[in-house]
Amino acid sequence: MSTTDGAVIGTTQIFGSAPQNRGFNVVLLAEGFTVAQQSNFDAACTAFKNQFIATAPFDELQPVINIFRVNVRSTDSGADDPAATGGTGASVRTYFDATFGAGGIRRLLVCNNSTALLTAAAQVPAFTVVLVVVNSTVYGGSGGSVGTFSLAGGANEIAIHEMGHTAFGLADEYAYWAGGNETGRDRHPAGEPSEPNVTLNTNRATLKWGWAVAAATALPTMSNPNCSQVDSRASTAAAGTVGLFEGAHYYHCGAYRPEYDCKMRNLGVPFCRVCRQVIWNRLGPLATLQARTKTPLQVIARYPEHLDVFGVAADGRTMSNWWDQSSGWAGWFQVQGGIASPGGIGSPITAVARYAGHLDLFTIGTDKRVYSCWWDGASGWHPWFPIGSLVCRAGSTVNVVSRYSDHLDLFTTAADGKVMSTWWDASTGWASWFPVMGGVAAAGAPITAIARYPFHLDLFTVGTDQRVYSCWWDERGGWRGWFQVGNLTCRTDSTITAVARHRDQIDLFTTAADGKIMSTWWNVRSGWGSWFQVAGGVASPGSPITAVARYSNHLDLFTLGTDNRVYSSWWHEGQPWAAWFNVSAGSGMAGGQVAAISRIAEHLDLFTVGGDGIVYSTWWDANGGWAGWFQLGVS
Amino acid sequence: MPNTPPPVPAAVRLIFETDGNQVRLISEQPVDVAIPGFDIAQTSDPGYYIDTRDAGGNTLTRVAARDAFPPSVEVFPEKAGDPIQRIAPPVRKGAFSVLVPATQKTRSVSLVKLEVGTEAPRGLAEGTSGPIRSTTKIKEIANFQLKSIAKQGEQP
Repeated sequence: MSTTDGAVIGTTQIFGSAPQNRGFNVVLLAEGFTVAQQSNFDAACTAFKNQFIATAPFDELQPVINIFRVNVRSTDSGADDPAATGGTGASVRTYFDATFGAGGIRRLLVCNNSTALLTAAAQVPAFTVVLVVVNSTVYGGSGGSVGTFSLAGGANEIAIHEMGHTAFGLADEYAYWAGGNETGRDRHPAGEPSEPNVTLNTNRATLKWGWAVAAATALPTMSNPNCSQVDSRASTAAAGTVGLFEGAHYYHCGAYRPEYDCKMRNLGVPFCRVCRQVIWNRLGPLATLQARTKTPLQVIARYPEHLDVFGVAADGRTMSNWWDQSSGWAGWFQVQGGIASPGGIGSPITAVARYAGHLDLFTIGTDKRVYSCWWDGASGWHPWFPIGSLVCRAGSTVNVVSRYSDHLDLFTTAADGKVMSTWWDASTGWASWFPVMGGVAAAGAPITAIARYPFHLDLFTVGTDQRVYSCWWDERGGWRGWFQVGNLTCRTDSTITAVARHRDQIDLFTTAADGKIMSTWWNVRSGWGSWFQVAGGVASPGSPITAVARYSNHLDLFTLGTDNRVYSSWWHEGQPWAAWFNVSAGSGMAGGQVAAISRIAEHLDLFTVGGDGIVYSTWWDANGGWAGWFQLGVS
Repeated sequence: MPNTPPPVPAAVRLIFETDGNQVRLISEQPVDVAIPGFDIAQTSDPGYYIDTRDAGGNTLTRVAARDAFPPSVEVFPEKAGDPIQRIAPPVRKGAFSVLVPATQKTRSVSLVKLEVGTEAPRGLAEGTSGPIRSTTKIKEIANFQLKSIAKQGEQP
């Protein structure tokens, strides 16, 4: 009873057209089917496929799902079925050596997992999940690294539940260990479970699925009145309510599940909202991101071998992707269920790394309030929370500066255009929003802020008269009044890009009303210079100018030209601005932005939304020059 | 927009066989598969992981090995609505597969177990509980040199 009792016949893809190297590849292996019974296996695979792809959220994730059937012939039909566990006593010669009655329980159906994994790897090297379909109408199945299920009605549900564990790291949500009559399961021991769909935490602010809980939902939502037994009452909350339902992770009390019911609690019911999102977070990154048309992308390098990219999906979801030198691109995922405000070009996500193991994110929500969330290397992502009660312009940008690791300064525009600020300090928490010296920004103009040194801030924006304005804050003197920087007339939605190559120098870049790419500078010795056009450049209407200082005497600029191609120019001390050139034949969305970062001095990484709405990236390295553009997804 | 592929780190599929507490690497297979960030550990949750290591033994990446040494298995009810049961694994032998990213620097993989100690939560409102502060211990169970990566990295 081994692989000598049969042979692999062949492999057929029965569903999907995703690239195998970026697909969720499900492999179905035939067990206990003779040569003459292969059509029965084919039919069983079709039945599983139909049920699987109709199950939410897999129904919406079909573009990244491939399903393969591997026809394997066995000498005999069926599986071992020991009489000692109530079976027929059958002992058959099959390829994967499947048997009922494991552990003394007839319906526990197992097989040789090593053979199953090696066979799957040989047939579909890119497999994600392996399921063995056993040719028996006796009900049975099991999970683990290889899911096993029979042809009995309902056994497909076993496979989908087990996939929840194996592929998505979901916990069991049932509140008992062995059917509910056992002892020692009254209260969950201390220690937060690592799985995303069970928790001991009742704190709304830190609940790991807090993003899915309505403000009006009580927490806990349903408590077990008698911890000596499983709470078998009907739900007291409306169907679909996400909250905290006591009884989960094999314990009657102390552990909570997100909804009253879920496929991780009972077979035959849908996955709950939180489990659906977890599945999305695993499969969604296999696809490219359809970005909001002109979403400004932000990229930060917490350390030189790592990048975090943030953007907004076409439907407003707050999205992130990260790259690490040791593992490549992780794929796009939604950050804590966030949705960013539409309006104008739509609110972007802005991010700052106060130190290498921490990220703070900011955006304007659909209620036009400012929201933040954070990621910490020790504890992962934390839910979005509102910062004060400020109501912003639809589509406003929140800009953030971290002057030192325990401090954040935020800047945005109120509904009436007033320039607003607040700050967070580790010692005092969040301050109240306040208007910055009466300044009012033009519609669509963001507030740009830089800290040339820890106790100084410089702000820039376009005023309602389309002129460039600045003001500054210094720890000794506080805020100073707004003043006009030269006589340039900008578009109302122009962004002022500011770079401090060193603490005594500011370089500004923006677009004039006619699209010309303009610059000026400030130096502590000579003050403000005059605005000048950079190398004759003209930007696509609405496209900002991105500037990177790789050295204190070098600047690189990026934007989209009037033909929507990605252009760059550079300046090196003692030389004039270089002529604009098209970067690797790349182009972007009209009015879009090019995000750029230099994580090491002789390297640049660029990101933009292409004309097809997909995020693209390229890089420049002093050794190899410019690379080609590639779709930013998972690699 | 021209569309050229980014530099793809090689991935290797590892298949391990377990027998009680023993573990053997029975297959390593370079494959062209993207490993989503979902599977690459960014935090120190308890459980089993495969660490990829460089020649100096430094950890490059940590990938969850969710099916290593399962403490129990599920037994499903025949009738919908009846309870699921968990029992101790019925067989000593098992197997699991993990896909790990592997660059030219990768030389070995280690199966590790992260164990998390806890500290009481502080500063929370009365009547609520909160995330537990944790301390992590890493226990290496087995280390395996990767032959396929060594071959790829050989100079002509």
